Amino acid sequence: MKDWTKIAAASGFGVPDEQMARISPVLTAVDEAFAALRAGLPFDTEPAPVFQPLVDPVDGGQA
Amino acid sequence: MTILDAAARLRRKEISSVELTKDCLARIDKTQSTLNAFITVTAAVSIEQAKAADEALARGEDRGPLHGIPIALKDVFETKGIRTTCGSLLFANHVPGRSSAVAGKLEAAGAVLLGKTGMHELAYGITSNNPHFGTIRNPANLDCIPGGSSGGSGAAVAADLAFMAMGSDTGGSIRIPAAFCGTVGLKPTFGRVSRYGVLPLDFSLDHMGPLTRSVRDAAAVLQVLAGYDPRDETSSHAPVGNYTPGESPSIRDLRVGIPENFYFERIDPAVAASAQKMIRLAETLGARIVAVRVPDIAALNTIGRVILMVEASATMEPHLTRRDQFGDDVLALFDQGRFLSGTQYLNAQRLRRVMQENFRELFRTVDCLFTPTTPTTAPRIGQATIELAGQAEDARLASTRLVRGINVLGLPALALPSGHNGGGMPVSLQIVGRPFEEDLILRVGAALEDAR
Repeated sequence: MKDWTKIAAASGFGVPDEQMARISPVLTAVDEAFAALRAGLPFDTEPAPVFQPLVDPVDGGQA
Repeated sequence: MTILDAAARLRRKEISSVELTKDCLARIDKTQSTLNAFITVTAAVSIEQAKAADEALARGEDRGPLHGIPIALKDVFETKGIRTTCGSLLFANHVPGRSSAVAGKLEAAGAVLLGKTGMHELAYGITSNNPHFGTIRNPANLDCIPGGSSGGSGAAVAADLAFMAMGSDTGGSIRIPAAFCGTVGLKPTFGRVSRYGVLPLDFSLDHMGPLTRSVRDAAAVLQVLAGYDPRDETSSHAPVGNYTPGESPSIRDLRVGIPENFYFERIDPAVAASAQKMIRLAETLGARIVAVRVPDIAALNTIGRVILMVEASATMEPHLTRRDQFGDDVLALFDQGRFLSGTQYLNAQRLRRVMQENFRELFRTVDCLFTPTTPTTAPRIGQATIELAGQAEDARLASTRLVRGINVLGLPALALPSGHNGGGMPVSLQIVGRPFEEDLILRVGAALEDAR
């Protein structure tokens, strides 16, 4: 199990101790649930986020 | 009265836009101390716009069904010269120098802006119990939440304060308040309605759509808002359809998928009964009911939470040193997102692709899916957990359980009022369609609405 308080300190997040106590169980639950999903991910799967390259207009807008 | 009813009366000169607007403003004034549906009411602007709408109609200038109709915008949509707070102290004095694409299109269509509706702080939650701008209450029961994050929009439409109110939906924030307040709520396909000028919660999950009193009203609003916008990089070039369901919409032979797994598990019996009633109604209208097994929705929700937490925290990270500017629940979520790694985020986006492909397969066998919108009716204000089938569940996670995954997939979904429980609280059916098939889910919704 990850030590979220140490991660917070090492990362300089500045999250107070009482907040760490509140969020650590949620983080552990999400982390464990996600790790199980990651295990079944096919090697060649590309990510889904939408990305469109920006093209500078040339010659009056003709790219 | 619906938008289309009011539009017809305006054209028959039975009523004016100024009269409609004054009626709405009077109702807002009367209910603001209890419902708290609005953060900002723009009464002077409203009357000015309504007068202009009446004059234009008198000159024969008709801009379509929204012309002269009083509407409201969730306070996440930037409005030039009008404060846009996002329900947050960070933006409490933010007066934009531009209008969002949605506000601009509605204004061009002749709609009359009544004001900016209240919301869960920074659109990051489902209660709309806002520590800075006050608690928003459900018109059906003042002790209950209206849902969120577009809670003010749900309350405003349900209480007849506005004919339509816009919402934004990152993990259910249009459909949950629609379900809890008893309105129609439409989350279009990702990219269908421009996000330009909307204060972002999450770049790849935010969707914009209307809350209305009828399905046809939602269709009329989408007809105005849909279309490519070069100012939004995620805006789609997909052709804009004809969303108007028509007078006698047919759903004969349409394949309606009913999930055998997940969606009907751990739900309130009244919600289940209401959904079954709507399924039977669709069948009597000629639809073919098809039992289906859906992909792993719990996994889809986990993927959605990872994407949401990371993207939302990335947006807000520069502000997180000002901890006293945030409510406790929202700050906890922003804090959590900073602990997830770059590899987890990218793998969530890869898993998202796998899920999209799984759902594409599913939608080869059905034309739409019916599910409950929320597992329960609106929880009480302050209620932290919901007990279902003997199991206590966090109220936020329970309320988003049936809707969050649809944002991850970017699919269009309609929350349709389907009745009330024994206590008079609204219950809702969710109709999910293929990408850019808003016309189909609106047709199904209109057919069910007509037949009820």
